[in-house]
Amino acid sequence: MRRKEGVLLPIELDILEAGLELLRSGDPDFHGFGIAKRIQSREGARNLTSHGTLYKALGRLAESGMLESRWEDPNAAAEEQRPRRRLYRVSGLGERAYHKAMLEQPGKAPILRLDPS
Amino acid sequence: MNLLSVSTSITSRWAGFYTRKLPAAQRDDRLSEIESDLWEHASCGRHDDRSEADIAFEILLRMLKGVPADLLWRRTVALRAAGHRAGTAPAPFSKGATDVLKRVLIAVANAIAVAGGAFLIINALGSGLIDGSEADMVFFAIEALGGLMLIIGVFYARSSPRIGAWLMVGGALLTAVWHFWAWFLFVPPAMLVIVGAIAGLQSRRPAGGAPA
Repeated sequence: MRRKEGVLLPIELDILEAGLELLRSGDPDFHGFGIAKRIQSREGARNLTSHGTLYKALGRLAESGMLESRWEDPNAAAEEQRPRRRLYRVSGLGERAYHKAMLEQPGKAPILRLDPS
Repeated sequence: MNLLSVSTSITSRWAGFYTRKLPAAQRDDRLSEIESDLWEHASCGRHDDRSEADIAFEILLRMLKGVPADLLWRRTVALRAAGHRAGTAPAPFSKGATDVLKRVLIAVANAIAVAGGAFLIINALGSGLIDGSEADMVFFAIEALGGLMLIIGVFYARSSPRIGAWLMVGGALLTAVWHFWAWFLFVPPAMLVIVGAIAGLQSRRPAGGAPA
């Protein structure tokens, strides 16, 4: 069954919410594993989000413009002797989509509100 | 070689498998993200003083739980690529990981049908089909019939897919119902044989017509 256009899955909402928390804290960039860890600790979940679910959701959010993505500087990764990360951050569109989705849920309000600036 | 390196190797190989023959950009991006994720996961686990077995198990669990999403993602990317090449709406996706999984399912179902069928026949012969009481002979005759249907169905499927599939489905159902008292032993493999028989029948249908 196809899902409705514009409807966000729970994992996508979790990613946007965790990403907005990071944006608010002044450290807006995150990578896949990092956001999975953050979602796990926020939700008190036993297990991390699976690879397939996580990267499919990140890809969909990036394609729809709700996340901005870029590969980090290879030199930064090389200095730390690790593979380079694909970094994401929530865009303005993502923030609005998150707020809209939360307002449409009965009895719930968005947890995060950012200054218009 | 340790558990952690085995689990990361399996996960990387799976990623390589479901991204094969995809456009290079999407394939490379996905493989690089997975590689990074595996490194971060292991590093984070070591930082938290977790055992390598724990980390390895968690990595494998993440991989396995994400298999359906990986295959759906692959399908989406492949359809888009096919649509771009053709310049029209994406063509039905009929090759790739789904076909391989279907072949594996059919092979496993056939193996269970043959092995299970042989077991049922041998058990029936040794338990009272020949020299048992009348009730025993009836019971084990039906058990042996189920086994025969399974075995004959597997081999008949090559020349006559429809009859072969019906024999396998019939044999599986008969066996499961006849052993209802041990349903937990017989129902799961019977279901697998039925699904495999149907998948085998579909895969042998002539090409064309509506996509599955």
